[in-house]
Amino acid sequence: MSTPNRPPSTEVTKTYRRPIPNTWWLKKRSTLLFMIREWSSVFVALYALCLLGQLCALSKGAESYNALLAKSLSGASLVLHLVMGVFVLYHMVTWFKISGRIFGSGPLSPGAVTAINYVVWVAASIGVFYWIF
Amino acid sequence: MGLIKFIKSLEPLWWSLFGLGGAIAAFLFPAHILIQGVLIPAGILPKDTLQYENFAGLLSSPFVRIYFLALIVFPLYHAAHRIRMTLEDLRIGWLNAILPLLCYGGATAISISAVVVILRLS
Repeated sequence: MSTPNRPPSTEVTKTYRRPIPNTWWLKKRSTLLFMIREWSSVFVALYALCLLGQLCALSKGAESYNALLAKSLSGASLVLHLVMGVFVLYHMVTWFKISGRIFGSGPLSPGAVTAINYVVWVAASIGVFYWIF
Repeated sequence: MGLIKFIKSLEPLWWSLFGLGGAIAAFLFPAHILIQGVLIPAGILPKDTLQYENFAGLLSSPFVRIYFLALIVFPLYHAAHRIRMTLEDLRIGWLNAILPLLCYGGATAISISAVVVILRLS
């Protein structure tokens, strides 16, 4: 058996690190969906800021609040909320799926845990509708 | 960078806030966005609830104030943690050094603002 070529012991060798482009996540569908899931958090933060803006306007009085309300009832606001809603829904679906994988063991399968999450979500949504609105 | 090291040492706290915020966003945000942001502006639901007198009356309850505070604060920490983790994957040296401060510091600053706003509600 031939021995592999080895550099002389005085030579310094470097570990080769394959360059990874910043667009690595575009190469596969799974990594693309992963990145979309991660960036959905930006829209979660955006909606939290929208809620804060609403409360801030409310704290300043009727004139300020009504001015913001007029903007929030506009078509542009509707489109913005639709975009936020799509990403928040994607966050929700992936969150429930991961919850199933994390907590699904023993008597409860991952599918059962995910299904329970959806049931709780429906109940919470009905609660929000009747309690708040 | 002792401050950054200290912030990073609080990883269990950030992770817990990330989990709680993610759950709140998953369970509660869709209904709020749909009702407040889509159905009412589209005219499918009446906009009475969002009128100043009604909304101010709703927010007069301390429980509703705490609810809205939780709705704002915890999802912000969820987003802060996720954005920090995602940006760290880009391996931008100078940014990675200050990301924990930017993300968690930003979320904390906005959360404090939210508390001040809530306390200013009449």
